[in-house]
Amino acid sequence: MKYIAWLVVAVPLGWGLMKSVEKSIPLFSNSVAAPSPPVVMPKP
Amino acid sequence: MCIGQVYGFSVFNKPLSAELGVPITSVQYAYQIALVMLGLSAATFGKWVERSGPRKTMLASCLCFCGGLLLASLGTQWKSLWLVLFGYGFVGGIGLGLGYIAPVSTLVKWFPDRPGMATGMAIMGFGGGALIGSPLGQELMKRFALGNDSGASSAFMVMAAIYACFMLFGAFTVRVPAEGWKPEGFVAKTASNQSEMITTANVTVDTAWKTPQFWLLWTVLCMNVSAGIGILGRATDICQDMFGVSAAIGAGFTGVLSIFNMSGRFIWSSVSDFTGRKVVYAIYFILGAVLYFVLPWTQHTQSRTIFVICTALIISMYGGGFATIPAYLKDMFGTYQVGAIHGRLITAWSMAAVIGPLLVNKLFDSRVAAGVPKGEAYNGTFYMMCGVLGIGLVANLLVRPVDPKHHIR
Repeated sequence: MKYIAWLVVAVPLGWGLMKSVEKSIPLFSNSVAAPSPPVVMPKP
Repeated sequence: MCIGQVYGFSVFNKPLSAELGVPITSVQYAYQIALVMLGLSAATFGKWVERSGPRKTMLASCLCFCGGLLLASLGTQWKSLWLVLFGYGFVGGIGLGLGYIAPVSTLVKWFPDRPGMATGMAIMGFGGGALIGSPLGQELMKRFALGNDSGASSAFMVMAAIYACFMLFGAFTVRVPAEGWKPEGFVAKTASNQSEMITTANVTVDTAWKTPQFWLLWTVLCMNVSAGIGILGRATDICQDMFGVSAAIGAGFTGVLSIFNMSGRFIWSSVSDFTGRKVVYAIYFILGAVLYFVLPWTQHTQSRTIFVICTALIISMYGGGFATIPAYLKDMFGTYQVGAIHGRLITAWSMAAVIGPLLVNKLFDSRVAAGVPKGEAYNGTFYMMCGVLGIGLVANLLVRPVDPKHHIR
């Protein structure tokens, strides 16, 4: 029973933790917000 | 872990808004009502919980929480916002309050040598529920979505079934230790060789809430929660506004905070078993204020890494504050009705959940209206949080042992 209880807690918690880590990955990549397109000056 | 799903309710905001044809703010009432009912039911039913024991309470919690999800499912099916608010908010909220305080007394009795760690585990479960509830809701809606149907109704129904299985498993396996049970090798301290901040006597809930200690701890919890909500409530926005990052990175920041919120509950409350509760709360308040003070500098220098480290630490202490309070109450008032006393103290959380975001949003809006750039508009909020933590620190320092005249003879 003890092991079942641990499984009942660990499996969903592990899944939720994995999802959160997946969600956090972009924070540690070096990308920033897409830069706005360069302003093109109209030709005279 | 099951009732912590309430933290993940926001994933239903947009789908429910579209399906019920109401603004998102109306859907969010369900979450707010649920949190208010959590505080009210924990305060009201605390004595009943102590009398009835954890099994009956967990069954009642399961009935209310899962029943609330079923009513929300029906409400979504019948396009009735009122039924969703009544089901998820009112009925489900009662389940939250009962479930939140149900394990506290039992765990303190099972771990007389490590009460902080024990209650930390229970409160960590609530934080962990947020990590599960949010992706579970999204996955289920993705699976059941069909045409105009967002899948929210079916998701609520399946969640009710899944959570009922887990909660019933918990209810039927929970045991209360025999009277006077002690772990092997544990020697209970007596009044003479124990810190004066840990009582060996007991105080009833009706007496406890008339003592200054109760209200000082109420203030301690309220200030600690208000300060944490300052960041949690707008985590994605803060990250995007201060560092100009994309929405995906902002969401990643929220993910990191969730992990630290959960792990802080276990780690800090375990630390409190060695340092004492008063010291650990002093650390939350002093270190928290220092970290909030540093945040504007991280924006000025665009030090994203230091910003993430500081905020993660702040949120870990926010979680730690939640998790350590039951052990602090046990130290002050004994184990006799600690669950019921904890239930009444939870009203501090309900209050903080209302005033925290209100303060943050009002100050931010006024700064933006005054022409301050968005990235710098949070600075005032951060300094205000230092003040909020200062109030908590003073309240904590004023906590003294309960007058023996209040002890049960």
